[in-house]
Amino acid sequence: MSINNKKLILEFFKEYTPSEKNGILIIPKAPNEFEEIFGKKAPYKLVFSLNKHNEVKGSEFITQGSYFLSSMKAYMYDKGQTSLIKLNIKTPLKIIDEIKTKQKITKITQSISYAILPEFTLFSNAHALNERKQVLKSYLIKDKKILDLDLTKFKFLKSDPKELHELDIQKQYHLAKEDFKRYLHDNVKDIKIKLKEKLETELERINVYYANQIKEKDDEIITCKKKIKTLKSNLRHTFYERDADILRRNISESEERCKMLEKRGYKKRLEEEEEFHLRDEINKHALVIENKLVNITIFYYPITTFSLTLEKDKKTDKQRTIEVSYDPLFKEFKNL
Amino acid sequence: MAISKKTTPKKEITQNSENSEDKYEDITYEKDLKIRELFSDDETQILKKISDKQFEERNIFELRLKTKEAAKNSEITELISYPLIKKRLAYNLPHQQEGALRILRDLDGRALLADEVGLGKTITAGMVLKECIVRGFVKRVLILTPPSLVNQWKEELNSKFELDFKDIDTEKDWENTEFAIASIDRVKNFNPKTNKFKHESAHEIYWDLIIIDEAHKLKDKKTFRWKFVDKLQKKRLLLLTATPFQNNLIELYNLLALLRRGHLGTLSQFRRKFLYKGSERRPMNPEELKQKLGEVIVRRRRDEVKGIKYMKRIPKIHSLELTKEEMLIYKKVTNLLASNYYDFKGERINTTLAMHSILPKITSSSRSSMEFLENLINNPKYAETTKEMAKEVLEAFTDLKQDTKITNLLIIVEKILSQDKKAKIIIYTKHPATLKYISGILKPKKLKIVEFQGGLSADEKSRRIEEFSKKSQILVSTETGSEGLNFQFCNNIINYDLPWNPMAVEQRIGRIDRIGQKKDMNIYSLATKDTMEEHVVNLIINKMCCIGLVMGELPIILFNMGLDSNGKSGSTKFEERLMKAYLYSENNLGRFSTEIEKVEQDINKGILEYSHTKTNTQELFSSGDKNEHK
Repeated sequence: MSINNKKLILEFFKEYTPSEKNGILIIPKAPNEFEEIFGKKAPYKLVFSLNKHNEVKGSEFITQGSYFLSSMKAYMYDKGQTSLIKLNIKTPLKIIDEIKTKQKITKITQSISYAILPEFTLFSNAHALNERKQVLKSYLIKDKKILDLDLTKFKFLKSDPKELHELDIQKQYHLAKEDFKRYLHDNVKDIKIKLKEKLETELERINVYYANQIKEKDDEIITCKKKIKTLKSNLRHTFYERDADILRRNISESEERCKMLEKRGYKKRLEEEEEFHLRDEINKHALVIENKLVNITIFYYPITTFSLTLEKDKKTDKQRTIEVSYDPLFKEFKNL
Repeated sequence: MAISKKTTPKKEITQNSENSEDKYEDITYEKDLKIRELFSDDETQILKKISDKQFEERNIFELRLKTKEAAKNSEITELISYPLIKKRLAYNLPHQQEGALRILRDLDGRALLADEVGLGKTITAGMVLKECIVRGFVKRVLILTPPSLVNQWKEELNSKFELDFKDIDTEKDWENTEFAIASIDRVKNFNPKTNKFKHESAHEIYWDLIIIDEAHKLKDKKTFRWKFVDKLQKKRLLLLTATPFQNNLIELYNLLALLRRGHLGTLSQFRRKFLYKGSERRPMNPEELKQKLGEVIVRRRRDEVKGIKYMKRIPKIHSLELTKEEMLIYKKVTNLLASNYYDFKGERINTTLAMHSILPKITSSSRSSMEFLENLINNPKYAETTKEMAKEVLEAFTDLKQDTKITNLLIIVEKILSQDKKAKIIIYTKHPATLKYISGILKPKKLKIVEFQGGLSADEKSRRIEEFSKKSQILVSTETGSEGLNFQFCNNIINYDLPWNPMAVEQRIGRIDRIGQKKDMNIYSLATKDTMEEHVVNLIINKMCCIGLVMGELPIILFNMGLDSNGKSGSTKFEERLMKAYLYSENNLGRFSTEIEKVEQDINKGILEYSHTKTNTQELFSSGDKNEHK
């Protein structure tokens, strides 16, 4: 969706008589709540180029994602969560003729009730480090089905909530939500791939570092043990008692050192440390997906219920009454 | 890769404590990639609206969608929060924005910001922080600073970035604190009995961003300071220091180990590759090391940054000769404190704490000195003999015909204004009583004066600042209330009295020694000859605050020396040293002077050490700048 920022701002502030002069959009007044969010009281001088911004003192530079637009978004955060739209659809008169051709009817009465079609709009913000993807999708649901239907081709009439009975749309919402989750995961595949690559590099760095650390410690012990072996061999071949004393002291010192190196439990400590840093990187690269139901719009339209009194059955001499409803949107009859 | 075995994929439902109370969370793993899926609780509210048949116009929803789209900014190519910050900054320095962008965009928010002192690292860090908040990257932030800078940070974040940070004092403060600030010296405490950090709650929180000021103190891997920081769970980490390289490269290695473990290999690999045997100062492969450092460090030098002029601080100490009567009173007061200060039980009061609260008062002005004596006389906790002596001194004060200090103040003020009629002057005092006294004397001289002290409302503060900048000549102020304010249009400060804490003096001077100051600054200080004050003023002004250091360097030196944190008395350790010198000297000026000289020698050592670290860092980075600015 490509947005014309100026047009959007004009629409947003239309009740506050915005005006334009020399390439500067002037907003003389704004809602208090917006002023609080933006942190500055109206009037605002809005400009749409950096040159103009440098030229006009105290102006706000408007660009994709700028703070002014973000403040508008924040202001709208919980607005327009629910809407009600009545579709201008009527049952055509010829339907009665159609019924008559199928049944022998002595009497027809009609009544109007309303069918509803809930539309759920869900928004998702997937982000990790500097990656971000936002997804918006609407679901129009009838019974247990997601519809692919464009309702904008119909005219809208003035809606009246009193025309509707109880509204329980939990099941339909559940259906929309489950489908959205599947849709979303397909959509963030590219971010996942990028993150996995980055994470792999970082984890490898830590893995290599700790593997080397442990190896270095192991090597130190091996070297120490080799040294003891050499010293012991020298001791066996030494001739002078004075040299033997020095060698014995060196052996004892090296053995002590070897024991100390092994005793410290370096492996466990290093492994624990590694675990911590791996977790830290995993958390750092975590993909956070924030889902939100942003709007439910209830579309409704009249359906006609026909009460048909049929001709007497000759065998039983009984007269039957049946009820049939007609859905003008889907052009279908339903036997009640 | 060994990692897979360590992170078994799992699925868990948890209450999300990190981002918002009204969300629930579903955590899954795809190999090692953690996916946290959050569902907003708004759905309950919206479904209820539907069942209650509460509807709004559809076009409002459509407008909402459009604003969402327009505000979307997925790539970090500019600081979208800058227009918000800009209006609160007195200047525009592009290097600060560039630094913040580089840290966020290129370094994923894990970096060491090593700009030279005076380039505004705090502002750059604040920009990173604000941008992360505006973009919705961070919800929980921790800032660790030296003890003396906690309030300054809080104040700057509030005034320039509109962010409220909560002080961490006790262990309980960590609970539900999203924006936390703490003195690193306080929170790093380790209890050997329990084998735990006193503030280990900090380690249980997952921080979105951590900023650590003066991070060069994290050079030693064996210290609790280093270990405390290493145990913190963090997504982004920003270390700030102008001198990352102190004396040896191992220290720099330890610092970077906090940022990216293994970035420079294991310690043995690092030694083999970059260190000459027996020397830990000079790198063996300097170009390669600089390149590696450039991957995590952002550093700019003052001489390569345009738009900043550094003006000189010119110390002007006015040595005052007291009249015989004044000197007699001074001696009596100090004698009272040194030898005749008893409580009602007859026990001598000579604690550092008591001295700290009294000494500056009696050296401030005759008015504050009299106030102290009056309080003493009317307080039952003092011995009768002490009270009698206080009465005697108070009478002598009442009979005084001349106040040499205030007379000299008038001379200085007249001299400044006669040289430049448009000059602005800030007169500082520690005590509100002295402030009133000075105002009372200056006002009849037809001088335009504004008083500034703690307790003023924000509106009243703004009004008085405006009055001083546009109409008045003189601002008489106490420290409290003027923290963080910009008076760079003024270049004269008169210290009527001087705090015995150099950090407080730095903050006074810091009001005018800011980016945007166009003239050299005159730092006048009044010091009474042949008194302790003379020695203290000389030490703090001539040997510490006005020796050509750039604003921000003295706090680093004191922090390095461990003199900026509070001692047992509640005052800084530096002040405690001066108080101890006073107590030790037993009112003998010669002995006091010798003690002050010892403090001066220690300070000189600290300055010299700092100067070495500066040189070392400069050498290490000097030819690596090409890499850094790629």
